[in-house]
Amino acid sequence: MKTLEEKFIQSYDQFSDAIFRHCYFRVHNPDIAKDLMQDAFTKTWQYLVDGGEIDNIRAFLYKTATNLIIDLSRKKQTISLDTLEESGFEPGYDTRKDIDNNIEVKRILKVIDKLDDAYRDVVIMRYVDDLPPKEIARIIGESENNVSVRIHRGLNKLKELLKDNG
Amino acid sequence: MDKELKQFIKSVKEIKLSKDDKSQIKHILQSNIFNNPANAGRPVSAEVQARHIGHDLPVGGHDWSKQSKNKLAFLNWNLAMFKKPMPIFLMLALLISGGLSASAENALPTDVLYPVKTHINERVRGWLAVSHESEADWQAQLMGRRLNEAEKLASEGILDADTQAELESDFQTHAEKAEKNIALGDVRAGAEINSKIESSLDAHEKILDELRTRGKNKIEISPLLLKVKTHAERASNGRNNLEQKLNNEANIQANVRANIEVAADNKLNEAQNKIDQTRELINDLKRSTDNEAIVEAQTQLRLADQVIYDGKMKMEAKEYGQAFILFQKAHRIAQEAKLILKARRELKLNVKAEMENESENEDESNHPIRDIFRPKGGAKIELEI
Repeated sequence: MKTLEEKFIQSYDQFSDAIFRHCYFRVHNPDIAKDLMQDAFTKTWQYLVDGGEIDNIRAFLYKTATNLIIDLSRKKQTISLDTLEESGFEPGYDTRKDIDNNIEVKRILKVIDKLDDAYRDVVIMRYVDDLPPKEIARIIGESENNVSVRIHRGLNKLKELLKDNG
Repeated sequence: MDKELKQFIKSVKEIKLSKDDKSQIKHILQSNIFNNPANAGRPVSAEVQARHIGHDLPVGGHDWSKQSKNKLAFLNWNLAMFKKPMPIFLMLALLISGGLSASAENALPTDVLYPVKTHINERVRGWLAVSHESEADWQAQLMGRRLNEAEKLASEGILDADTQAELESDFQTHAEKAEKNIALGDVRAGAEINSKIESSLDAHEKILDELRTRGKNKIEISPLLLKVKTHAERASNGRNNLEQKLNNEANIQANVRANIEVAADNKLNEAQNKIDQTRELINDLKRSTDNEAIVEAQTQLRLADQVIYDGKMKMEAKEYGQAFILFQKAHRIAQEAKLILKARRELKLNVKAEMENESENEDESNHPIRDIFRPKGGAKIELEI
């Protein structure tokens, strides 16, 4: 039987990319998205340390990440990469090769930006992250029926946008 | 689902963390778990403990994965690894804190916790640097740490020749490792790290010079000062070369131009952040720092604001390479101002700042935007102490 730590790290292995994407499509900056993703996992662990129980960690992570994004947009500041002590430098630079060097990413962002937030989230969660509508409903706090309708409409909208953007 | 949509979704799935980033953050989370277990008093799992402690600590071949979960097993460390003996009560304090010692972070070479700082804290944090770029950045931070230590000792007049030699040697090692990793990494990252090294070493050069002028440890400071000047120049040359390369690539290749547009945008945010941080520091220090220092720092920040404005003009003109260079310049100016302010506060120094003058080392024909870097009227701005 796995320990709590092992399960937590396993959830990181499974969901970190999805949470990162969830943040990246909102903030458009890979470093900030990385920070937000890390914060989401850190806060989730702290919740467990404080005695909280989580029956669906994926949903919890999405909700935590979304709340962090909302906090950020309210503060209107970038989150610093302050993982290392400053003795004259900003914290570490990361390669970002997987994102910044891929011209396709710009095209994807352009298309995704044109989707309404409500459609974008459910379409990405359904078709990119492979979440079932029931779980998506839990994450966003809507009924499963509303989610299904939104997915259908979002997908149609996405198809139109792809036609327009070649 | 039609073909185009399927392809789009497949492409979106490719947007993810790099292996290095994913691994780095995982280490951070594991370290957090180790220091902050879910049930206090319950030992963390052997895997997490071994992962956190690692295998290359100089502990005489312990296999932590098989080690008893009793944290007092740390007492088996070979004390000879420390240059100075560590009292048992301090080791227990380290064990109880469960990992990196916060109290060791400010240790100087003359302190008993200094080996903990360099051999444990810094080593553990070094594990997080899994790419050439992050390793270069970490080595650059270590360069700054050694200089900070030398300055603190020199400001108290207690920097002896042996300590100075050791710090100088360590500084040289870190500088070489930073350069080596910059050369192996990404061009843009290399330009950024060189820029940060340059602004840091420029500030440290002025601080060391001021300490020498005061007559404090004059003999010990001189060789270190020379080394700092040498590496500041190397960083400046390295930065210029890489910026030029970046600018040329941006002018030729459309995909590089697109990426540099994003990079310039991010650099603008970083530069603005640095300026804001320095303004906050000025506000904090207004009551305790002399007016001239405040005015000087504010002048530097006004210059940084101007450079940012010019960078934004370049962005509008779609000259992203030059915009990136300008935003990086603004970051350097603000960074140097901030470091000097901190030195004034911590070492009780009066350090003069100078406008960066790039005309001394560069070929005029390579920098069409040079004029923006010169202070108005061509004179150095220098405030009297």
